[in-house]
Amino acid sequence: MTTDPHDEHGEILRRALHAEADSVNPAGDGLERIRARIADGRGRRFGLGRFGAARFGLDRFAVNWARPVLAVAAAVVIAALGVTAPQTIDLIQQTVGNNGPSGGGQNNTDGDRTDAQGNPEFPDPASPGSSASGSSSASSPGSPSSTPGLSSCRIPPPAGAVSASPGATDSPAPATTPCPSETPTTAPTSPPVTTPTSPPTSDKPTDTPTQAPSSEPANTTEQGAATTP
Amino acid sequence: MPFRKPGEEGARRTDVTETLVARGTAGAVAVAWDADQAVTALYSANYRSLVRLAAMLVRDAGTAEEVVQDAFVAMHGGWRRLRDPDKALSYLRQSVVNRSRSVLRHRAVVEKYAPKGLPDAPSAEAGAIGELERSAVIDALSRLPARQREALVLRYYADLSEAEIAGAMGISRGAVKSHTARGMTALRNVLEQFS
Repeated sequence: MTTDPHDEHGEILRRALHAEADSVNPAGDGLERIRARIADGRGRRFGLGRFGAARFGLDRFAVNWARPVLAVAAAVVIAALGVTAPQTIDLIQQTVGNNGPSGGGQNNTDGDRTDAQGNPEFPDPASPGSSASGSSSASSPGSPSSTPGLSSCRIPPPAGAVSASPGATDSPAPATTPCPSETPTTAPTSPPVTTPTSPPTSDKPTDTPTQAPSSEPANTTEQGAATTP
Repeated sequence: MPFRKPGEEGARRTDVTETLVARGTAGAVAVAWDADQAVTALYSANYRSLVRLAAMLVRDAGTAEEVVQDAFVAMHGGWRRLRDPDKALSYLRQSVVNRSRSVLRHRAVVEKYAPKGLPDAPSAEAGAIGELERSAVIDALSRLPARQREALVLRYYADLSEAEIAGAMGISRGAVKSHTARGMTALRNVLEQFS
């Protein structure tokens, strides 16, 4: 009876391997080591590696909750920036258009007042509208010479911005037209009206004529515009 | 009995399977408890043999223990993805083989740039024929390519079938046959001395 030399070699190899393997006796604390590694490695499997969450005392649940919360917060911030971007751009354009000799707060107040003017200008024709223009004139004296023209020219941009809303299309056209027309026509028409408003700003004759006419022709054009439709 | 996990009753095993399959509704605590129990059961039944298998591959008992412990930790972490508990041992064996390869690759890089040390001195037992045979065969085995050595160890030490070797090594059965035949051919000169 002959044996296959391959099997015989296999038996020698098997015997040698088992003899070598029998000399290996693993330590008895292997299970404790495994459990310790499992306990220590919970943070490693969920994200930041061995230098991550476990080192900073964050378990996997904190890491799992932190990521979606941060993602939602980032999305909300981006959405808020996207929504407020047009208004922010308008504000920037207004501040740039004002040339900024006066403070930004005044510019903002001017822009707000012009917006506020655009809305009340509709009831103005029915009621005496000079008071609204008087309020604007009261704000203008801070910058005597330059602001009147600027304030009258500032009115269109916000009115144009307001033009997006219905009914505002009438106001910008009359508001813009009186501005250039004011400066030439201020001297003849305005003096009687400006005299009551001027006493606080009595120093400047140039202010008083420009402001008062802005109210009157604006009212007239608005009345005309209001009546035409 | 469909489940062969040692040290457990049939009802418990059925619960484990249901927990693993219905992992979407199962609580994390139950799954973690099953994973811990599986680690304990597989450790008591297979830890020693796996360490010895790893020692045959990496030729170092301490490193072999670390390799097997890492494999257990990885199995515990991936227990949810392991739908069939019967394949836990196969998963462990494959993990041991893969990690042993990583150890050998790392060791090769280290030895490439490390200064050469003196060869190991023969032990006092080297005079015995059995010890001589063993050391000669093991030395010849350690000089084989990694795939051939893995195939021979899995075949002649772990007594695995070709399909199991293919699964553990991640290769086809034909490749297992090829690596085994080439390895035995390379060892023939050494083995013939003791036949």
